[in-house]
Amino acid sequence: MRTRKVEIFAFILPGLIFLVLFSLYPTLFTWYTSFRDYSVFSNSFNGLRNYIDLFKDNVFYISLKNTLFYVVFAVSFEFVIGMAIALLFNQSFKGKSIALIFFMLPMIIPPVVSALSFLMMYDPTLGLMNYVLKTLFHISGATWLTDPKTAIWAVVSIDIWQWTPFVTLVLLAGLQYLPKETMEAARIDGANSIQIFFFITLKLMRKIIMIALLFRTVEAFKAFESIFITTKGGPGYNTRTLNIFAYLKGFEFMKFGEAATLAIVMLFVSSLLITVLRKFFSKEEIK
Amino acid sequence: MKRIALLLILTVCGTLFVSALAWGGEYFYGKFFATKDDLLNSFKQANINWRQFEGESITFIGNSEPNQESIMKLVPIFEELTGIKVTQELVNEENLRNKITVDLTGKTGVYDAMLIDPGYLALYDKSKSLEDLSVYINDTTITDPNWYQWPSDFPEQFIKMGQINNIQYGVPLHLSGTLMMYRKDLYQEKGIPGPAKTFDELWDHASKLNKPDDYYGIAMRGMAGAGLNMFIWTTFLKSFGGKWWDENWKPMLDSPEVIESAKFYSDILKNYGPPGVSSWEWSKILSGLQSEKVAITIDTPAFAISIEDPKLSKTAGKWGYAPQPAGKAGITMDPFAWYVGINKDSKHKKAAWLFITWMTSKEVQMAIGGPTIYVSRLSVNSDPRWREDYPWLEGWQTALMENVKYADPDCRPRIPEYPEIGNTVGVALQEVISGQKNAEDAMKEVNKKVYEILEKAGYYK
Repeated sequence: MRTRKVEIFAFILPGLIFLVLFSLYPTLFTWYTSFRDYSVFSNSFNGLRNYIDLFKDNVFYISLKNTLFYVVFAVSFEFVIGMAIALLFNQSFKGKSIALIFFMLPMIIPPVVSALSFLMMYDPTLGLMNYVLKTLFHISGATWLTDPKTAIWAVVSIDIWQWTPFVTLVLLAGLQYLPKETMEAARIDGANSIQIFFFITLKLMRKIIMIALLFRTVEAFKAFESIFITTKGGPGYNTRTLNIFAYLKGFEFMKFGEAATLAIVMLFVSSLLITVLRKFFSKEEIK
Repeated sequence: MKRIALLLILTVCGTLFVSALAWGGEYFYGKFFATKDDLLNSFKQANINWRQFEGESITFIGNSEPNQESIMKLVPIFEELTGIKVTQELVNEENLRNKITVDLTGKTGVYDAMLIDPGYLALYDKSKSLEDLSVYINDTTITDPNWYQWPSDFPEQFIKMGQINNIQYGVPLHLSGTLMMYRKDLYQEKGIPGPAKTFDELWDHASKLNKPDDYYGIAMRGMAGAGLNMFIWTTFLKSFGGKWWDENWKPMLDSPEVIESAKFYSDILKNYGPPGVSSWEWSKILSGLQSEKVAITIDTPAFAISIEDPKLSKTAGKWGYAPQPAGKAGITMDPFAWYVGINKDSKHKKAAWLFITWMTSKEVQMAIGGPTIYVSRLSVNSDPRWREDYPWLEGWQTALMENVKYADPDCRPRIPEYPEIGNTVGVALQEVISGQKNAEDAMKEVNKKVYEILEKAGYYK
């Protein structure tokens, strides 16, 4: 029995070391740092000062609002479009497998590259967007990334373009494993396609939808390249998310303590978002 | 099996081919040194014993820009000359700042000599992590004053920028900053006699040269950042008579002069600049100049080599260069140069100093391409022999040397808190350019924020 325990321990040891070194230690150190005045010249305990300063800073609330805006709109558009396309690919048609490959392409492009391409396309004078609008529709277009009204939508669109295929992929996998018998039974009972979709498909897919949404929420919360490369958080504070704010605090202002505080707050916000999502989906289950 | 063998052969051949390409290039010693020995022997003119630290080894960190890379290709010559082994590391700017800040303030002494951004000197001064170079300059066993010609061969303002509290921490490696560039051909076409000497004239010229279907009157950096829009706008701030703060560090960004400068900067861009200019940084401006989209700009003189190269630019040969316009408080140039300094925690300080004198020597600066690659020595910059190959160089040099006279090292204040202050004010300026706020509100608001940053850093104790 004893050797068995040793054996088990030996097997989990590499994983344990990895977790402690690269996950547990940095997290605890971030907690520790967040209570300190930690910059290039100082490293002293200052209690809750960082937290109080952060909650008094209006830039924090602007960043929080932008982050939530980004997450909510990116993920919901990705879900709706992704679901529609997944339903399409669930049918059989000629050239489906090739079409599927092409549709998945955005997902395998590095986010830095896609952000740089969008930066070029959004350019008001030389970019593709305004060129197409002008030549095809005779609309004069916009300064997408620098107009305070359009900037955040412009960066959210990059996320939607890049990650809708991911949602589709997950949902398509779910759709293909749905029991055919239930659908047929409903059809015999006289339900039409719309009813089947809303009352059966969506219900049965609950778990898989939750997985897709959880993945995307966490990823969208972390989004950095699509914003940093195209707008650096501008114009003004219009696209500054918590991520960009933390980057600036840590790597440009060299205020590591304040950056750690922000990171901890971000941890709470993202956990809250995920809890809400999970609650929402488990409630459905009880019904 | 056959297929795998073929694939293997192809891979090996490909790798060999690529490495052959990489090895093929001979070192370039410029038009003034025919062979490697010519260059090597020219250092013997210096009346010092180059081999006094033979066998030591030093580590240098720099950034991967053309000037640096060219110098680093010549390092084998330094090693042959002195017997000192040099380990070099070239990284990008962001990385460089982070690495040396960590090394210098953490006192780890990894790098003996390093490239320093003068904006961070105050920070390193505060942490006491750099050597006072005057000790080395005055030591005749390691510096031959007649050969090195410090300080007479370096521009005065750039020497000053390498100092904090009169301690010399760095030797300028090149000289750059801000300069006005304008399309001579368009000026002639419109009958404008010459470059703008005042801001009213600048406004007038930009308005005359603005033909949005073909090109825009003026473009300057709009993207928010301590080294982006702040690099250019701060020269306006100073020229308009504005100040960052008074003697007691009380911010003065809400003063009428500063508000006026912000208003002028954003109005001229809004009226006669390209759409979306509020997110333009240097690369956008450069491509605007190259593609005939922009008639006037105030930006780094380093653009010249790229806009005057017919292979890269449609506008080669069409550019005029001039000192910046003067405001109420005269002309202001925002100088920039990379500096080389010595780590206080280095164990090979004197060897590191030999390396610094070597890399900032006239010989190296001549070998790497002189003014075409941005060097700091006055004698190299004004050497007329460069002008034979580069016809634009004369006008560019004259304007730059004139503008350098008005260089203000504290245009962007050299205090440790500047990165945060610069970023915050940069965002406010961008809000004005993109039309979200007017100049007065934005500056008044940001003035409070700057006060808070300074207060937190303990300036009002």
